[in-house]
Amino acid sequence: MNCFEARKEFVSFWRRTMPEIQRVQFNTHLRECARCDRSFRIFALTAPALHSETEPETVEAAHRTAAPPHRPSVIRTPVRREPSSDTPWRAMTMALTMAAAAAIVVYLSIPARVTFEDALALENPAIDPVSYTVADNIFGQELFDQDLNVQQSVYDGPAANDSLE
Amino acid sequence: MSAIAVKLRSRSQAVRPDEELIAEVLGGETAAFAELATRYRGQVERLCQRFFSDREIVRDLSQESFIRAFAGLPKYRAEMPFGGWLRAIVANVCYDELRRRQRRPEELVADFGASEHAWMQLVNDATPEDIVEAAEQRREAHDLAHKLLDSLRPEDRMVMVLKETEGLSVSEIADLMGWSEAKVKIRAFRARQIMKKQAERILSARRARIAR
Repeated sequence: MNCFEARKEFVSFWRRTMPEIQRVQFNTHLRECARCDRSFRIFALTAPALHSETEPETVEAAHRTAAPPHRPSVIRTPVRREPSSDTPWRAMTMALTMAAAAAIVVYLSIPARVTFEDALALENPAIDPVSYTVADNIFGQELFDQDLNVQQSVYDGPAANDSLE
Repeated sequence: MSAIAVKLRSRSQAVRPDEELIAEVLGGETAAFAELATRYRGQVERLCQRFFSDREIVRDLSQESFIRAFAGLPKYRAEMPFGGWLRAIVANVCYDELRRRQRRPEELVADFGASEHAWMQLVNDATPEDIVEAAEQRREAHDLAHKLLDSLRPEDRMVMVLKETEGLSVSEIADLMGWSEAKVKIRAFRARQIMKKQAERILSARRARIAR
C-alpha cells in the first residue's frame, strides 16, 4: 500500500469498514511511513465529529487526571463548553426511556384504522373506521395556520451571496 | 380478533414509500408525517450532530428541521428523493444556527479539560487501532473535535461536513447552499488548511510538553 492509497482509506479505517487484509496493510504502512502516520493522527482529532456514527455517552472515568495549569488555548471558539458529567446523561437516558414507554402506551391506545376486510373479520362488524382529525396531528392546529403564511421556500436555501471574501 | 391485534397486523405490513406518505399529508392526513419523521429522525439527528455536540441543540434543530419540512411540503418536488430534500433543509437550519452563534464575540477557550488532554496524549502516542477504539468510548474525543471545528467559519464548516461526512460533490454542495462552485472549492481548501494547522499545533504542543 502506498501513501496515496493509505490516505484515501482513513475514513474507512475509522469506520471499521475496511477488509481485514487491507487493514493489516494499512497498519503496516502507518508503522513504516512517519508522514502518513502524522496525517492519520491529525485526521483523528476531527474524525469523532465528522466520521463516527455514534457519540459516546460518558467520559471514561479511568482516564481522568489532575487538571493541568491554566493557560490560554490556541483554539478560538464562540461556544463555551460545560464540563461533562455522568449524572445528566443517566437522567436523560431514564427520561427518554420513560417517554418512549409513555409513547408506546399512547400509541396502542389510539383506535386502529379498520379496513373493510378487517371489519368483516371482527366479531362485531359494526365498528366504525376511525379517521384522524386535524387536531390529532403532532404539530397542532397552529402549524396549519402558519402553513398558509409561509413566505420563503425552504428548498431555496439562504440568499445567494457569492462573494468569495 | 382484538383491536390491538388488528392494529399490530396492519402496522407490520410493508413499509409505505415516502411518496405515498407525502401524498397523504398533502391530502390532509397529517398523521402520515409522523411516520415520515420517525423514518428520518436518526438521519436528521446524525447530520445535526456533525455541527453541534450539545444534545439539546441537536434535538431543537432536528425539531426545527421537521417543522420546516412540514410547512414546506406543498413545495416539495417529487423528482428529488425526500431524504435529499430533507437533508437540504437540515443543512440550512444548521447553517443558520452556526451563523447565529458566530455573531457572538469569540471567546478564548480558557483551557482544555483534563480528559481532553488525556485524549490528545492518546492520539499522539497510541496505535491507530487503539485510537479508533478509544474514540468510540470517550466523550472528550467528540468534544475536542467539535472545539476544533468551532474555530471554522460557518461557511467553511458547512462545506467540510457536507463534503467529508455526507460525501457530496462540489456541485451538489453548491446547489444545496446556493453558492458558486468556485466558492465551495475555496471554502473546502481553506477548511482543510485551517484544520490541519490547528491539529498540528495541538499535537506539536503535546510533543513539546512531553519532551520537557
